[in-house]
Parts: sequence; C-alpha cells; structure tokens
Amino acid sequence: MLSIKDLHASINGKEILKGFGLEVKPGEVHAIMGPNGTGKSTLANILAGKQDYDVTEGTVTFQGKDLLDMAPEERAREGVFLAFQYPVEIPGVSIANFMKASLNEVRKHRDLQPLDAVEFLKVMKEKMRFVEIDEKLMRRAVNEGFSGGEKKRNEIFQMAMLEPTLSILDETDSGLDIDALRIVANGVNKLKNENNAFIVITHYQRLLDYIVPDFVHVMYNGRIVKSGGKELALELEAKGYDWIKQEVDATV
Amino acid sequence: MNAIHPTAQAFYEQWEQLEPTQTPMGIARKPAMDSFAQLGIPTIRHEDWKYTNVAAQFKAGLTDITNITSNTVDANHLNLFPFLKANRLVFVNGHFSPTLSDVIDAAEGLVIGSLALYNELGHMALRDNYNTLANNDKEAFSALNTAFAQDGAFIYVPAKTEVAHPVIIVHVTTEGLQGVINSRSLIVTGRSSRLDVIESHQYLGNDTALGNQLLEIVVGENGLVNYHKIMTDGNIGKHVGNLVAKQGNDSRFNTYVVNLAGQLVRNNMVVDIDGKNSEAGFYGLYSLDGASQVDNHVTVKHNEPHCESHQLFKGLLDDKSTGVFNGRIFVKQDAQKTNAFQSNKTILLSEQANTYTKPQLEIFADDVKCSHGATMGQIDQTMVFYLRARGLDEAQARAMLNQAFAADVIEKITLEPLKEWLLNQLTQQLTR
Repeated sequence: MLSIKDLHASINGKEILKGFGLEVKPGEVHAIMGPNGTGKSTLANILAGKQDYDVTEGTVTFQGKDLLDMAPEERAREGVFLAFQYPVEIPGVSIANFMKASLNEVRKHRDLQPLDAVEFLKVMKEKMRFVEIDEKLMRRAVNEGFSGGEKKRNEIFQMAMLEPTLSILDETDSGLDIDALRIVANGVNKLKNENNAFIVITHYQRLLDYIVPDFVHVMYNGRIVKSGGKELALELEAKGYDWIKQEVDATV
Repeated sequence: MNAIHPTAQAFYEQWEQLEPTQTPMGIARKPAMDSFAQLGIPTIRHEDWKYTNVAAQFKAGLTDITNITSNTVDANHLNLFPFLKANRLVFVNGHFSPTLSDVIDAAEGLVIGSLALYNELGHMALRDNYNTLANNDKEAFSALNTAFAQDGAFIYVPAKTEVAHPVIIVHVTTEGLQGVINSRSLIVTGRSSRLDVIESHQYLGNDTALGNQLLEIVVGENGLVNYHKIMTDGNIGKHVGNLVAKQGNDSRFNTYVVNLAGQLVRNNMVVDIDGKNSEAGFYGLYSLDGASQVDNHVTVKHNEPHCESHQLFKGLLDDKSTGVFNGRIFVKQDAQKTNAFQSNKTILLSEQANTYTKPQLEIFADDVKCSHGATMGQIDQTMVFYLRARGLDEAQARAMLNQAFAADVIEKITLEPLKEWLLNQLTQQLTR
C-alpha cells in the first residue's frame, strides 16, 4: 500500500529525514516511536503534503502512485488521512459545513454521488456517536474553543467520516486523559479492517495498550533505527530511548 | 463674506439661479450654500479625506444636475430584492418616481413617500426635524446637499406603529450625465415604533454622475430602526453617502453597510446617542475586487449614560481594491456606564490591495467599558492546508475561509430573507 524508500527531506536547509524507509501493507498497524526532534512529525507532514519541506532524495509510493507528486487534496481524496498533532482552529466554518464539502469531494473522486443534506446528517450523526462526540459540536466552528481532547476526537471523527485507506495519527495521544485516549483508540479499532492501514506516531507506549500494533519502529535522527513487534514498545517504556541512542551513536 | 472657495464657485453661481421658497427645504438652502462656499470640496490634505480622493472627481465647472428630470429607466434595474415583500420607493436622478414606486403598508399617520411632496405640504415632523442633524458647518458634502437637494424619501412612523414590511429605497442614476446629483431623505420614527429600511444605489453605465446623498434618521424613544445600505452590483459609481442619526431613550438603531462592489464609495455615519439605555450597532462588510474603493467613516457619540454601541467592520480586498475604515467613539463626561466596542478586520487577498484603518476613542467619563482593535493580514496558510488535507482544493479552501470571515458581519442582519440572499451573493462573489 505504502512504500517509502530512502527518504531525505529538509526544511530551511536543515536535513530532518535522512534515509527513511517503511513498507506498509493493508490490514497493518505500524507504530513509530522515538525521542522528540527525530523527524516523526516531519514525516507525517510530508506524507500529507505540507509544502514547507524540500524532499531531496527518495520515493513515496501509495497504491502504485507517486504520492509526492500529488497536491494535498489529491492525497486526501486518494485515501491518505493525517490526524494532526495540533488541529488548527477555523473560526466561522462549522464542522457540518466543512465535513459535507470534504466528504463530497472525496466521494466525487471515488465516483460516488454527493450526499444530500439529509443523508449527510444521518452519516454524520452515526459517526459522531462512533467517536462519542456531543452532537452540539457539529454546529460549532471547527476546533474553535475546543479542549485538547475535543480537538483530537474531532480528528478521529473526520477520519471516520472520510474512511481513508491510510491513516496517520500524529501524536494523537499526547496530552489526552485516559478516558479521551480510550475513546480515540476505540475509534481507531472500530475503523480498522483488512483493507486499510494505520501509522501511529507516538511518544508514549500507553496508546499501544489500546491500539495494538503489528510493528513498532524506533525513529532516531531522521530514520528508523530499530524495528520489532509490540514487545519493543514495552521495552522502550521500561528502558527509555537512551540505550537506542547509544547503540546508534556507537555505530556512527 | 470671505472669498468663495474655487471648487464652490460654479456651484455658487448655479445656486443663485434657484428660486427661493419658504419651505423647510428652501429655508435651509442659503446658510448651507454659504457654508459650502467657504468649505469647498475636501482634498486629500483634509484628515478625514486622506485616503479617498473625491476632489479628483470634481473637475472645474462641475455642477449640480439634480434639476435634470429623469430619462426612461429599464425596470429590470429596479426589481431589487424581489424575494422581499416590501414598500418600494424609487428615485431617478434624485426625483421621486410615483409610477415605479409601490407602498403597501398603511397605518394612521404613517408616511412613506416623497420628501419634496411633504415639504410642500408642510408635514409637521418634517418641519420639526429636517436639517436638524446634518452638520453643514463642517461637512462640505452635507452643506452641498442641503443647498441643492430637491427630493428623496420621507418616512414618518407615528408612535406605537410597527411598519409591517421593510421600506426599500432605490436611487437610480442614469447613464451619460456629468455632475453631482444630490438626494436627501428624512426618517422620523415615534415612540415605541419599528422600521426596517433597505437602501440601494444603482448607477447605470460606467461614467455616471457623482451621487451625494444625505439621510437623517430620528429614532424615537423605545423605538427600533434597522437601516441597511446594500450595494452589491458590479456597477456602483462614485458615491458619497452621509447618514446622520439621533436616538432617544431606550431605543435601538442598527446600521448594516454591505459593499460587494463600488467604484468610489464613501459612507459617512454619525450617530448621536441622546437617550439613556440605548443601543447602536454598526456592521459593515466590504468585499472588493478590481480597482474598487470603499471608505467607511463611523462616529458614535455617547451623550447619555447606560448606553451600548458596537462597530464591526470587515474587509476582504482583492486585486487593486482599497478599503478604508475610520471609527470614532466619543464618550461624554456624563455618559457613565457606557459600553462601546469597535473592531476592524481586513484580509488582503492580493499584493496590490490596500487597507487603511484608524480606530479612535475619546473618553471623558470614568466608569466605562470601551475597546477598539484592528487587524490586517493575509489568509492563514495553516488553515488552508488543514482544509486541503481533507480533500478541498485550494480555491475551495480559500473561498470557505473568506466566506466564514465575511459572513460574520452579514449574520448580524435580522431580516432573515435579506441575510440569506446576501450570504448567497457573497458565496457567488467568492467562488467566481
């Protein structure tokens, strides 16, 4: 589904990704862990199409197509979804309006008829229950005045609406209390099937108790330095990241 | 008398030919002309006209042409706001057109009609109120208007009368005229009355006369007046609009000024809050492209305690358009417990667009709550990216953000069908 090969990227001349590689197949959940400042969010933003970065080397192929060649909206329509680490507040744009426009663009791309207001409302209410969001939120402006937990749940709600093929969760768990965390994780688990895949970027192992990954990768200094199964996350939780840094730095 | 200002010379000579009358309009002319002769047309050296070069429109010898009575007018231009059941008053080149007008509301003492007619008839409310608010000593365009205006709307709403339908006032300026058309209106509302007014200006053709309009509104005690000035058509010429209003105790007065077009538009608005426990609202949107220029000047005078005023003006400026906002709040020493707020926000959509803003507060009372603020900037790229990351293309994303920014002002309108129509007009403008 997703194939990232030898990806190098920089911002303002500073190289952040230094030969990142990853293969993701349908039905898989990949966790990417690692200390702060190793390029995890950069990776997420590059996959979503944020234009502040210069990709200097490497390829990203998504379902056989060159992902880096696509505009952000094309990626979204093709089925790539980024749950933002810091969802932006958009005053004046209601969630309902925004999601209706968004869902219908995605549907158009999939050769589906746009939903009319009644059908849309039905889908929206169903998905809101799914992520346990208060229906009152849908008339409010996107993320405006939302608590941290509400913002993250709103991301998962949007994910549920758009039914992406590949979802990237960028530190969705950071700053969440345990109840909100469980709701977010439940949402992901219910959406998970054999045709879609998830990349879960996290700093903490706690989320992985709820979203069980098939693979855990440790990212350090712009690339993956260690991969393993879910037990690797537990090891990181127990021992921290220093031993990995030492291992890597010793080989350089 | 001092020498006549050069820009007033031709007007003065012309004015001397006007037949004097002893009506309220006639009596007001001479002092106004004397004042205009001293003031002349303000230039950009005049602080209040710094960014709006209206003087450039006054080439030598330009005169008042309000005397010219109408040519034929295509009725298509007059069917404005067809979705509203309303009273309609139509003026062509500053003169009432009875055949194009249609008044549907009737009540004891209610007047919706021509100022010229009720001036002749000597209507009491007109005699008592005409020219009492206009500041002819300081405002050149007011003085010019008072000296020359022939006609305009006159609305009198007696006490405890709620006018069931809005009054739509349409001013049409026909093609191929050079000069100034002065039109004058007066609205007087009694105690506990209610009135909705929508005013629109239609300039037919590209190079039309300059419209100089003056509207006086007296809002009665415990009354409500909602005044809307809607200019949405592509072809809005050179226009100076003066609104002067006075409010009584416990009254509410709201002004909504929406410009989705305008070649050169100046909206002056001055309200005196002369009663306790009253509220005034000023809401303006100017969403412009091409070389349009819209200049809003608002002055709110808090003369009495326990009153509240709101000013919210937003600009969306594309191409080489220019937006100007100048807002003033005066709070007199006696006007304790005043709440007065003012905000001007602008988004510049092009590198060539210009915006000028000047929020001013002058407060002489010590127990008040006042605020003012202005922001200007470009559309937020992180918001655009967020929307694009959900499948909207860049144009859609920008249109959605601009709509949200501007709709905020239109949402304040309480006349539901007008609000919906304007939101729709805005969407069309932003997505074309």
